[in-house]
Amino acid sequence: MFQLGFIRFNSPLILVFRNLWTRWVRTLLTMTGIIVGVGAMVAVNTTNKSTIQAISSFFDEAAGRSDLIVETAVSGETFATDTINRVRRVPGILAVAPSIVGVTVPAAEAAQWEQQLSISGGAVPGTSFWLMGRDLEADTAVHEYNLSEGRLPTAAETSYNVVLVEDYAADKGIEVGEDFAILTPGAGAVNLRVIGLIAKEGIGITNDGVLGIANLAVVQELFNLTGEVNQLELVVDEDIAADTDRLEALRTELDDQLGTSLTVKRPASRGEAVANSLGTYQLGLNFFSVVSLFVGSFLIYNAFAMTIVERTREIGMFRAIGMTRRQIGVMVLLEAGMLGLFGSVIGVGFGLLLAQFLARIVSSFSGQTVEQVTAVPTDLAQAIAIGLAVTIVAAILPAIQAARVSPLQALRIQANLDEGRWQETGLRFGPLTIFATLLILYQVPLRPAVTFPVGSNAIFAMLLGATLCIPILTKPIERLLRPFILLLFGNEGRLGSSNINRAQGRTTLTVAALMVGISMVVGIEGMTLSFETDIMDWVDTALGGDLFVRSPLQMRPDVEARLLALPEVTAVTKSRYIATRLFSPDGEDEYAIFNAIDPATYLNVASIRVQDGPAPAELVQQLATGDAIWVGADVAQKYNLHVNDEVVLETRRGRRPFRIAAIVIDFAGGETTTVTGSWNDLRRYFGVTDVSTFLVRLAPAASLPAITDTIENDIGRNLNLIVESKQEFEDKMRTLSAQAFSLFDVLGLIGLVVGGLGVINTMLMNVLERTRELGGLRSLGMTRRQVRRMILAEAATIGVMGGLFGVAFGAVLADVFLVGLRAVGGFVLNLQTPYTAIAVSFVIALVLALAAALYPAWRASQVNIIQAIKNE
Amino acid sequence: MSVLEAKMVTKQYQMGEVTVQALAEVDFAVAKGDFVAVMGPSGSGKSTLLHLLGGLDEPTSGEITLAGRPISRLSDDEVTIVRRRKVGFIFQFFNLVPTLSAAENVALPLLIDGRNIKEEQQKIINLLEMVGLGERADHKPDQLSGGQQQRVAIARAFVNDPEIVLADEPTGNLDSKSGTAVLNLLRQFCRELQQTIVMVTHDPRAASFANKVVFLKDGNIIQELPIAHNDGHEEDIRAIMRVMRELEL
Repeated sequence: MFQLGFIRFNSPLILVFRNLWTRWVRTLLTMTGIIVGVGAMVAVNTTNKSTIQAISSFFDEAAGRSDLIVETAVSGETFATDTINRVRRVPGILAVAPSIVGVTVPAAEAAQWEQQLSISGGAVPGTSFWLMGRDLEADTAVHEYNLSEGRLPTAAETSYNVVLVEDYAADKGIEVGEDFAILTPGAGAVNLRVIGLIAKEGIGITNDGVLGIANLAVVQELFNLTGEVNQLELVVDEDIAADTDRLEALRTELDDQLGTSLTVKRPASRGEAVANSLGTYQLGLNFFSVVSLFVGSFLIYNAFAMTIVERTREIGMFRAIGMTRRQIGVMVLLEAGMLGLFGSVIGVGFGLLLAQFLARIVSSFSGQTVEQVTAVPTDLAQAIAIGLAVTIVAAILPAIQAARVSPLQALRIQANLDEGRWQETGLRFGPLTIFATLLILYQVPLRPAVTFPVGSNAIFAMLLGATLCIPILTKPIERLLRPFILLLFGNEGRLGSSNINRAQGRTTLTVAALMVGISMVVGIEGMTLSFETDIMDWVDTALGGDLFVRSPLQMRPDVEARLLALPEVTAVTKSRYIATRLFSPDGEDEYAIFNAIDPATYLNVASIRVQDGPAPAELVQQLATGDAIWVGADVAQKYNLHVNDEVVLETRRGRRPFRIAAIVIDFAGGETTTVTGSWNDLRRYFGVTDVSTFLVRLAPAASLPAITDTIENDIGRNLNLIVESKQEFEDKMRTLSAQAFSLFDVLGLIGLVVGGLGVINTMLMNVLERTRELGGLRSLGMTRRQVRRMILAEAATIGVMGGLFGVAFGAVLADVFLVGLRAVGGFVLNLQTPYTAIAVSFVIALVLALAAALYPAWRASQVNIIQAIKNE
Repeated sequence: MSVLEAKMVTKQYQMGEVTVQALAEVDFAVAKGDFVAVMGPSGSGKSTLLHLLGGLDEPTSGEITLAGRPISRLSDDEVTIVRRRKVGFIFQFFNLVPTLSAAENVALPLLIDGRNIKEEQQKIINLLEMVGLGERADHKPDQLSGGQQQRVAIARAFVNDPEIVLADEPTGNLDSKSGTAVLNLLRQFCRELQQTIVMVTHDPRAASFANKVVFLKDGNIIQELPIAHNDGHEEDIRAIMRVMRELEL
């Protein structure tokens, strides 16, 4: 007896379920498209948000119970301790905890010290040792110290006692009671007595735990900063702290009272600069993750279109026995909806797993450890909704196609869909769509706010246009390729190669899926190569110099003369980076770096690539005159700045206007806004005279190891000078860029996997559909091997086509990315052709297509002749 | 009283620049309880006639009335509903849904019509028993022989109590034993349940199970032959073949 009771079959859902279940290979393939698409989106989104979250919670945790922070407007500077009393007098302020940080290195490591850069252009936390001086009495209101061993210094003691973070102490093998020597600007190496260890939490996470805490007075004395502090952490009245508006009012009031040289912030806002510096990068990742979803939608469309082809006779029967077109369409969309829902849910899980991996990569180059990947439930729900929507949208055309199936198809021996329209549609819309999108991307000036959404949509439209162009070019390309296929696969190759013209829609979609995958790889590699080449070119020409001389502590300017005195040295110039705040004419303001150069010597070592403004010699002259700066094209783009515009910089003498003398190609500072001014202005407005880096030019015959040795061990013995060759710096930049772009590579790989799945899908479908024909060919004497060769030849043709289209479109994509980078991030890059990537991609396309066709080819060779020719 | 009537029905196809006349002003009527076989050589228009009668295709001119409704003037959705409720189809290649069991295949037209299958369960069981597959209700099509699959298709065609069942070469894909079983079933439905059947066939033996044979040639009905069923099938088959010879079919 059969059971009908369990079937609630008043809806076509039963057909949907059964169809998905029975055609499980297709179901899995389609679902994979959704899973990787949604997964990539979730992974990138979660990684980005977790990074920002990590940055913000880092600052939150390090801030302890403080509600507000007072710092100098020029970040990293010091101010007089009498401010403490002024702040204490403000009503609502309950506690004030001052602190000062001396940035140094352990004396034992001074020789090996190396500057570690992050993608944002800043130093990687933990590269230097921070000796933090605190008023430990006032601190009790702000921080809790989780002491694991020993004791904290008392507020009154003046001995050189320090508390280290236990992880750091363990790493260095230092125990309580031992001495720990650090470099100081005045007295050289100084021994500190380790009297206690704290856990790496709360304030202990500052500078990634590479931190020592001593009494305020001790640090002030060691770093020649008596009477100065860096920061005041404030605890305010509970009622005010709980009310955002009142807290903000108090912050503004205090900010006004303390004048322009000091600024009052909420602890979390300090993470903004770090977060902003990753902005363009995260935008790029978002873009590629959406492309992955787009590629996924191709696979979905492909699979659904094929299901319709496969089921044409069945659908014809449904129509014959009374299913309306609407019911047919709804049935297909229900199937899509179900797949979309399951696929998206699994995709979210896959994305969260992938995010763990991506977060590790991000941690390696962003300078921010992302320990915990946390996802926002609404974001995940949104991802599921997007995955569902994309699947349903991708299935709309196949649903319409299904609804159009005539009931007469049920009566035919072998039903076929009309595929003749592909070429017609392609001719009509393909070139036009590409032309329109190129026009939008290259000719239409877009407001910065809409650049990203309009640009991304234009790229998707271009992908669609390229897809529509495929059917126009399939035939001519196939004819061109035929001799090669013939050479490789013999006469079976001729049959296989010409087969691709039979199901135009299917060929188009498969070539398109491969095209998008390959173009992602070529585009990403093109962008990476252009980035690398231009940065290296900039290091070579603009940055100049054969050696960079640095020190863990800032250096005195007289080192310049001592370096120049060396016979192998032909020229030296100095530079100093100092943190500031930039106010653009539009009223925007942001953390920025003032890079001071010496106009008198700069061009002896380095050069300037001026994009807009006077010649380099004239430009340095203008900088020497004072109150002038040059900015990189990225900064100019970001703030819409032109030559002779004025920007205001926060200085020790208050806010000062600076005229923009030129816009140059400049990668200094990475993604952090950097402006370059003169040494005199640095001294005048910032009161700074020490040096961050000396750029040294050597005589052509100079021996690099010998001169390095002389500088480090002779001149630098007491100054702790560290020499880095240009080659070492370039290697460092290359590694950093490779790490940063590896995330994009992951997304490119996803694109390729989806493309490969598309080929499997198509080839399997081709084999299934042609079972009768294959049986016929076998009955005429075609061996199993010949059948396999025929199918492989077909796949090879598709692979080569996908490779050709992918490479061509990838080149366009790379150029568009560069235009996009210019529009969004202001980076001016020249397109480099990634020849290796092109060759490799081409081979990948071919191998992928052939590998994907192995199983279908095997299936084809196993066709039972009698069964096949009896019925389909 | 005619259940199905075609008046002056013409069907033309455009094949490139050539217009092909598949049916030329055909008049055709089927009375309630009739079992009509339509015969003719390839290209005579018999399949076209069946498509038009079932509302699968539209006539170029003329009118087709099914159970009093002129289906040639209805919209696609309306004619689909008519097919769903008033017409049953039997195809040469059975066209069962491979993912559904025999019982579920039979229930398919009810499902499409949004009916409560539980309430119709007994009817489905009865139909399956009538076609001799009561024990195989939960078998999938690939677990059934060709003859059994066609019997499931017959049960499916009758599940909606249609006004008419249209069969397109129902034995064309079966061996002679299975074919005979299928034709006997159709005859049984016609006789016992007063069902009306139009069957297209090129096989005189299959046609001999009908009450009347209509001969088509070049898009025209050229002769009708009533079948008496008095002297057994062999005599009826000989009579049909004689007419075919006379008409040079």
